[in-house]
Amino acid sequence: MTSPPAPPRLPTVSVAAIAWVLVVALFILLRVGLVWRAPVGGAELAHLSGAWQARIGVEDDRYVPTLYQAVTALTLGWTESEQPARAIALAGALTIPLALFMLRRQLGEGGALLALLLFALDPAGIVLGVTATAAAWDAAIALWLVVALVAGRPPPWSWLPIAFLVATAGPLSLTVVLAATVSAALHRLRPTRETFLWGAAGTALGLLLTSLQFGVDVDGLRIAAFSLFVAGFDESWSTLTVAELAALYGLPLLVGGAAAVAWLAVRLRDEGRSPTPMEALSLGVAGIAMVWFLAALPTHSPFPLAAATFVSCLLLGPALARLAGRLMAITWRRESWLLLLALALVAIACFVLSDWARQGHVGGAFGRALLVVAGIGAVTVLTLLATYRESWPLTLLAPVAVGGVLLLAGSNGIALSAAGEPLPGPASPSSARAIRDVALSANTSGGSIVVHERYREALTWPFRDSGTLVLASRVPAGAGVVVWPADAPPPEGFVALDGRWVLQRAIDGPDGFLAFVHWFAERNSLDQRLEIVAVYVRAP
Amino acid sequence: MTEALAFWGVAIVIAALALPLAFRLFARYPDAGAGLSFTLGLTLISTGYFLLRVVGALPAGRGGFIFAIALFAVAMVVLAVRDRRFLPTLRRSLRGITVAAVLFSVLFFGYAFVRAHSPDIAHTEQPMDFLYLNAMLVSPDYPPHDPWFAGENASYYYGGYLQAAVLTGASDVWPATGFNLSLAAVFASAGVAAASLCAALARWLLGARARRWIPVAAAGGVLLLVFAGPLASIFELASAHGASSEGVYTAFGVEGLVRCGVGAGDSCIGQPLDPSERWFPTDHWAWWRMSRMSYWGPQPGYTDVITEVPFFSFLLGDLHPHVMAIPGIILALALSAALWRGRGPLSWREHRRRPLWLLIVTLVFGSLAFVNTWDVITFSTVLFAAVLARNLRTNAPAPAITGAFSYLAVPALLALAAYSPWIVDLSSGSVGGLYAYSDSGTRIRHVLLFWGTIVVLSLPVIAWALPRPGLPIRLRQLAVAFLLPALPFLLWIILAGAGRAAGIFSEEAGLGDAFSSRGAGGWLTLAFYAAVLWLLAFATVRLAGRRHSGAPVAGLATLGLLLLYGTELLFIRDALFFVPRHNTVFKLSYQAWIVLSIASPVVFVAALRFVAPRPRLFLAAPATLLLAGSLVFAVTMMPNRTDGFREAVSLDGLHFVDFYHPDEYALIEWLAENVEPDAVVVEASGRVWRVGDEGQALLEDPGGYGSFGRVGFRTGLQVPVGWPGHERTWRGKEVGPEVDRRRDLVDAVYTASGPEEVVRALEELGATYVVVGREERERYRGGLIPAFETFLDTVFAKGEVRVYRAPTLEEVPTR
Repeated sequence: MTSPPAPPRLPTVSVAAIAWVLVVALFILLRVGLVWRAPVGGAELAHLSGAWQARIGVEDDRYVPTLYQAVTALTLGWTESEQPARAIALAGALTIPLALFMLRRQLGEGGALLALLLFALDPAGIVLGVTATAAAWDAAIALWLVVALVAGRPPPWSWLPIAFLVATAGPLSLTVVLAATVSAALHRLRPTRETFLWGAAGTALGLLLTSLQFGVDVDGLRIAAFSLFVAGFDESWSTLTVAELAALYGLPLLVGGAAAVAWLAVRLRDEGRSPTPMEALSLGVAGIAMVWFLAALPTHSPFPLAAATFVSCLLLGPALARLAGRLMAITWRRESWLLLLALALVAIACFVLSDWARQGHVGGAFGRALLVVAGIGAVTVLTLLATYRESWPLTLLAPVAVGGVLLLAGSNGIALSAAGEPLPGPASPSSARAIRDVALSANTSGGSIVVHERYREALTWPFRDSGTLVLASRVPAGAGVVVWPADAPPPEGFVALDGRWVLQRAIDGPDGFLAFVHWFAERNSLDQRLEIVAVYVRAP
Repeated sequence: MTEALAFWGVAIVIAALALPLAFRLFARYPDAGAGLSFTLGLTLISTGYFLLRVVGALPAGRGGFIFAIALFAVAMVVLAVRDRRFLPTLRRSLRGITVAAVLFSVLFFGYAFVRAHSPDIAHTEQPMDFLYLNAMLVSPDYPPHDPWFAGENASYYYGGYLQAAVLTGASDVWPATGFNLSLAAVFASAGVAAASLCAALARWLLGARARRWIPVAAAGGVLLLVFAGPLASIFELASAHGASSEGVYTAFGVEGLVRCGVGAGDSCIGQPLDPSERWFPTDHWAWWRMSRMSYWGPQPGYTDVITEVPFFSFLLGDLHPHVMAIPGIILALALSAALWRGRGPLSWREHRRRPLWLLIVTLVFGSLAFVNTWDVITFSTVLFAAVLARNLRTNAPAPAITGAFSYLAVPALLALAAYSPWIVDLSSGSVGGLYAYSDSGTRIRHVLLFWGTIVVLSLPVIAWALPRPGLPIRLRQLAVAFLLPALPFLLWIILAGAGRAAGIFSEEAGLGDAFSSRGAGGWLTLAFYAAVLWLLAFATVRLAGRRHSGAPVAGLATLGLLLLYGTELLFIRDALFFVPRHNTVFKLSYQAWIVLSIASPVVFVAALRFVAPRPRLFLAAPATLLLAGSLVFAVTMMPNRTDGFREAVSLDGLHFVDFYHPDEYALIEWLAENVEPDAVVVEASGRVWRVGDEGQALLEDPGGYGSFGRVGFRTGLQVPVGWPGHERTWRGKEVGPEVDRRRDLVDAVYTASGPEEVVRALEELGATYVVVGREERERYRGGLIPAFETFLDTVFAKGEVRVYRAPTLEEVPTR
């Protein structure tokens, strides 16, 4: 007797797999559009200008010899568009989900998934992962370095490309290198002789190429990560300071990351164990990134924020997964009502605040009373929740919810209307390129195109591939078209072309707490500063 | 206040970061080296920064300083986690660490408070000091440029300025404020380092049971090093209150301090000053007289020496190499003491076993030269003596000496390599070798009024060398000790005999002149020094022979006396040959003060500890009086310097510019913010010109010291030429014609008759900017200055101050 044939098994898909697919899709969706839509601004504007100068053989400090920057210069050799360079940056960023997938054992399935979700939503990560800054590949390289250090046992030879990539990357990967050094000392680890030699060879090759600036110039030992780190303290790679950027885009991740570090420390103490290699590495990177971030608070660079949010995602993902596990274990009887009450009170407080923000001033007595009552009520209810031994994790739900909303607002703003966001600023708008086109077409006299020397740096990108320009502080005799400050007296013998010629656009940060709240409620509420120029042609 | 807090915060972070290293090096110190950790950390960070800049790995900017600190932090964390004794040492030394941190903070903020009452960077060589601080901060390439000689690298020992720049840059403080806060950091780190070393020496000498005496020795070290001054201040104070008997003052050789009253005629033997109306001397810069013995005696006295004490330097606000070197010197002494204290002979093989020590010895002693080159010979000799003494414990003299040489040869070579980028730029054109001193020398009364306290307090060490049952005096030890006074004297005879002798009034003296010019007073001083030196050297030899813990203290006292004795006999000829031993006395007597202020409190506390209570009182009372007498200088001159602490002004060293000439201050701010660091800016040359009868420019005054060169020293931007005399001192006489050429070209810019001449001169100077401010209008008088605005771009205008820039006209390729 033969047993009946087994019914054909339907392919099964786990919930986790579906979640991975969804989050990866979100990760891609929030980035792909930026390849076309993001304005060229901030660090990208500086580094694209540097790459262009490198491509045409002009020495320029804005060219920082990371591998990605060299690749950008290469792409500009066959197209003057920034989009191929961005697509290459995106390709690097798209390896992040895979790297996190490989870190499942170290972070936990849920932890890795939530970390990916946070990476997907991190506004600074989105911008710096897609735009053509010199550090565009940094997050991906840093994460793969983490994978190589804690998740896999890569063959010794693989340390040649890994070390090469790290040596030619920006400062974010440096935080992992430094943390790994400390972690190795803590765990008394030493690379094998073979690994060390391959790594040293990769590093030497990387440093050789960065010192040769990938064939552009030679000027002593150049370490791209060092250069980007140092320059970030002096250059204006962002309209807003690091502190302002953090307030607008990084607050949920930074606060969450700090809470995750605290929670991890408490757990390590309670469990009486040493940190795992992943935890030690994450804590090390967090320490270094936080020092960098704090030291750079008044500077105008997005990279310290990106470093801080990068490690926050790595720490916060597992912490949120653990929190979710605790929440599952709660009976949710009286707690659910209290939680709903707390959320309602928080919502009322937020509503009052946003109303004031919209009006631009603090409201009347009723509003104040409502805010005070809602605030005190929310704190009281949350305190009450915290007193129940089993249900204290619920107290974290309100801040998590608020943080999630802020994070979503930031990532949506960046992904859907990056041009209206202050993060990639100051930006070179499309009108800047239009000025160049007009100048070229209006130059019928055969004279030179003269640009005021004030725009020395601003002209590089919009005026790329425009022949030879003249940079001057006074209009020379042979000028055909003159691009001059709008507030300067018009040059004699020239007539102005009609139009509103905007060479650069910057969006200022909110001025005060209410303006800050207003911006969250209404994205287009920030002031813009326009660098308007006048275009003159020689009078007939 | 915020800036002071930020600066202090960076200093404390550096000190904390260096603790793991300090624990390794100074594990046997009561505070485990916490008092030395700031200096140690700053030395290593600044050297690391320097090397990274030189190889081009770090670009210019504030971030570079932070990056250097971050790298150091990672190295220190690695060191800490690999060191199993780190946490136990931390727990054991927590009290010492806390005391060190509190003492540092009190001294730092205390000094900053005093300095805030007279913050100006305006006199003596302060502009030069500010120049180098700014050069370290803004120089686009390293080795740093010389802002007063565009296109050339700095040719000076600038390591201390680099350390100040690390603190200023990392804390993002306005450089003129950083200047004053750097002084506060030096003051505090010197004090806390002295406390640490004195505590360690006392602890070794007295043993664990006499623990309560250790703070006394540490406090004594702090007081004597950074607060004490000449005893002559007592006479200054008495004179300020009208109590100045000519007879008494003449008897003590300080008749020059007598106040005869304003309007006193030629009969006045002292100063034509009225008595003070307040409790402290109120006449302008009364404290200055304590650094020039020539003011003490009858005029004209011997004007060839400057004898400063650290407190004088801090009162002056002198961010000079010899001041910034104080903490480093104490660190070097501490390292030497730690090496002496260790076990087992040392030779080059030791470096394979302890590479960390090799690195530290290399950088700390190399840095001594980098900060103040005068110190490296003296304190490398101390290091050699410490290693030799350690080797002699277990080895015969020949292998002990060979081992010591081989041990030090490796770090010496490494230091030469590490600091070679600086060394190659250092011009030695102004150094002319060793000479015999041929003049009257220092009077014995002045010696006692200046050095009395710290010399007398260190004398009890001789008592330990006295014969005791079982410890007879050995003639060999006496003979060896005798070499110390004898050899310099022999060298003096040889040099003078060879015609290499000079004094203030005799540039080429022979042996006969040298003998006769010294006079009875000079020979008495020499005999005093020689006798004390012999006794101290004998004590050192005897104690070292018994492996006694007092040997390093006796050695330091001996070194102090040797330095003082040596400067009465020999000097190094340098650019200031017209006042022959000027720099030699200045630099070496400063070293002597430092080592004696470390040795004397330890010696004296040990003496107190070992005598019975009643004699102790007889010993302590005069010592306390002496100490109190030494502190009169600080107590009375601080209010003099600060106008009785009437008003805290600011910590901004350029506050006076802002107050009196706000347009000039705005100029400095604008230049610092807007001008490229490699640009050359033209400012007044220092000469004064006027219009002649026929409209031509006539030279009225060739210039000397002054505010010219202010763009260079206040911003660190390069100007064609700053202070000509200093450039000649730094680079040798050969540079004279080039200095003159540049001054001529600068004058041509400001006195030109037409645009072409200006443009030609600017091109020759490689300059882009021309400044016309108060200084230029005062030095190019009567409408000499051309109408620059007609052919140059006006890029800054405020009040009467203008900055012009050569018009930009350049082709820019875009494909």
